[in-house]
Amino acid sequence: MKLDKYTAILGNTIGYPDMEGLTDRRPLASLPFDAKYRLIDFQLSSLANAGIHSIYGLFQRDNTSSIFDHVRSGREWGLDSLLSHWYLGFYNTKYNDHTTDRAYYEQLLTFLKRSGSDRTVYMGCDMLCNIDIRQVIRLAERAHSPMTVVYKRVPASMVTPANEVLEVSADDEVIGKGTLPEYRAGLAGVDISPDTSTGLAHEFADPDELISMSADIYVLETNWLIAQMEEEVKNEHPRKLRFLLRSLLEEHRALAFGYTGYLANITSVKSYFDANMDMLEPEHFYSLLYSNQKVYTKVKNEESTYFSPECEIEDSQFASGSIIKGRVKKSIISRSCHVDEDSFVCHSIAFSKVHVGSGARVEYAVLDKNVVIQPGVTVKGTPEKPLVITKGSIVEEDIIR
Amino acid sequence: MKTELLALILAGGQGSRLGKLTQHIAKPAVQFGGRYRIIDFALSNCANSGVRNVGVITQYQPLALNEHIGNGSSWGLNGVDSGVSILQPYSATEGNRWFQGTSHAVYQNIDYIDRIDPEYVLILSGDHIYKMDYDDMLSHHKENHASLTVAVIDVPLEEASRFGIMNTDSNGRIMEFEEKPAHPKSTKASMGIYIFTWSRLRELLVNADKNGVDMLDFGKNVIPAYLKSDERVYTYDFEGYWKDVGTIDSLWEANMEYIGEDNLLHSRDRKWKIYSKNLISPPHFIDGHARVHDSLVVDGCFISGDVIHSILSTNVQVKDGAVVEDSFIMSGAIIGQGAHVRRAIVGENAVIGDGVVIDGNVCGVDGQNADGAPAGTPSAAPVAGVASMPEVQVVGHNEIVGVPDEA
Repeated sequence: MKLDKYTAILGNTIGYPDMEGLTDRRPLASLPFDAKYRLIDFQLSSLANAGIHSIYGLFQRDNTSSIFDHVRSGREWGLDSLLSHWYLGFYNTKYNDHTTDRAYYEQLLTFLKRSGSDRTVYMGCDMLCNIDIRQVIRLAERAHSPMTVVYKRVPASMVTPANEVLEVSADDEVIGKGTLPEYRAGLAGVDISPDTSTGLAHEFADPDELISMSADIYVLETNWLIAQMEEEVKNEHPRKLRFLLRSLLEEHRALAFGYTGYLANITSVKSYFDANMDMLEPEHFYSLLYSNQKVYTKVKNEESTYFSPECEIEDSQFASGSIIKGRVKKSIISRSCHVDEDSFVCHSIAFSKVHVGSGARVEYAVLDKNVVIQPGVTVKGTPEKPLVITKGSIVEEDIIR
Repeated sequence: MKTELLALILAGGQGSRLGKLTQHIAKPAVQFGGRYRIIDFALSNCANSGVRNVGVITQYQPLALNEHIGNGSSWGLNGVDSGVSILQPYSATEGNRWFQGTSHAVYQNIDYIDRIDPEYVLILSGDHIYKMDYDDMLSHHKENHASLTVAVIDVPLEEASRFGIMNTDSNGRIMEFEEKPAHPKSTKASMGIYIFTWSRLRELLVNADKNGVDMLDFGKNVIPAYLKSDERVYTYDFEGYWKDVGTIDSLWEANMEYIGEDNLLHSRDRKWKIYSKNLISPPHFIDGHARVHDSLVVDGCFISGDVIHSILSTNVQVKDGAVVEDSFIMSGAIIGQGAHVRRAIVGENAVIGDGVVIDGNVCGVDGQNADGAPAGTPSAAPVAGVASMPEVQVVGHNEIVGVPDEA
């Protein structure tokens, strides 16, 4: 394959208010996942596995140091070789804004025009999956489709107001779209105005009904995309790429590609927590991390994890470099953690360098990096509302939700 | 710019005492401690000591070693002013250049060394487990105005006759060198780590070759020649953990000593990290049936069975009902359901079939063919009738033990 045939744009996410401090100091893209990864690893690995070496990362200007620190030259994803390109572009508007400034598009247009690529892949970091992009590209090429979108059939309970629901024809073309309530109202023939629709998704939903949710992953003809962007940038407040692309789906009867592998929609602490816990089910773990496509992450030189004679472990995952002496059940423990004697960690996620003191209890909690739980202290959330302990906190008194 | 110090790692030995483990790979490439290969210790010491140029001299089965070292980026040795070169024997107009000894291997790579143009060369072996600051050794070499400094370690008197022993004066100047003396006069054993002032060594090796003098081996020829010509030869006293892992027993022992929250090497000390080429794997998974006690586990492992006082390297699977005890399991190995592995070293990607017993504690008649494997009795099983001391059992790389042929 010619190296510069495909390019990719790695979009940042739209803002999610209920991440409870997990995204205060880092973009969602660099949120740790399953002990060893960060969310951006999955997108970068999908692109690397598809042989795409020219990537434009689009990030909000604040809090980008964790992205720099994690991706650096892109060596782990093969982005540091002579013929590869890894650009970072920044924009100034807020996460939550739908619109942006013209500079956002000017940088992007320069990148795309210089690339000389045939097709461009767009993906965001809030959809966690391990997709074989080559398959989507092949389909798009065979159908000569300027716009191909990836969707997955998911239970309605997974769909949030921020997601786009697609109506896909028997010929795999997008023939309708909207938020979940709009989609349901459309089916029922009810007219529903946009401002009352948000937030109502769960109220009248059958949570198990399967919905075609857009994964916001696209394969686009580069020249076609450039034309669309040039049109958009004429506006004083152009929409962000994600919203521009969504707006084009129906009009251009985009080709729809149904993804069947594991997918998690990370929009809240609860969905983030659940996606991590999914990894403790071998079925999901194997689907995401042991498929034909490897997931690459930043290399860390850590020692092995030591399990002491008194530790008790049940259904848990660990990265390297930790010392485990307590009881760990249904939990995910990242690099270089200490779980001391007689402590109990259950249904929880510990980011790297967390210290759980002796006799401490941690249940349904997400312990951010460098958190210390002092000996004997109890930290407890609920399955519906997991408790987040923010980065670097030293917890000296019980916190029970 | 002139380079101050060039390290040369002698990694060409066959390591025949490691038997099956070095059948297809060089000894320095044998795995150690869950995440490492033996040579990582020498390479990481170089990186941590600020040695920027390293030549790795290979000869025997270098494939795995070359792949592991690559461009040296895993040890940060791929910078603008640094590099790792793999030095292999080659043919030339004056004949083929197989290395016939340690110093001969250095002499044969004289062109490479001249190109780097170092003031000093550091000679290392690629088969020792230790942490050492070579920069400190170099300062001693310079302070003493030495032309050769030999790193020594204090060994128990009863073991001294297994080593090359340095007899020194009160200043640490070497007066006499005895290779494996029957009646050792000192307990300062050579670690096979030397710093030479390169101009002097170069002269010696070139002249020896010109005059047909046998100068093939550092211990046998070069050090005695230095002493005979009254060169300034000093010892450098090393204190700390140092282990030659040249035999099955010592390799197993060193691995067992490595298990723990801390160990004799203090390998968790972040100030002197050991680096390695990382295999990319998901976190390790311990399920509801597993018991893991007093063990080291790394990424990619999947444990359903019991693991007691053992090391599991990357991507090892221990299935339901299996027991692994006092063992070192190399990467990718699979321990089948209900299999028992005790006091053993299991090679890379080996497969231990369901119910197979490999037990280094039970030797002789009891242990023999305990698995009742139909075809290809595991060569790991002790030989019938030789009932003796318990012996560490070895399963070779890619070896399949007790799995019926499905064809």
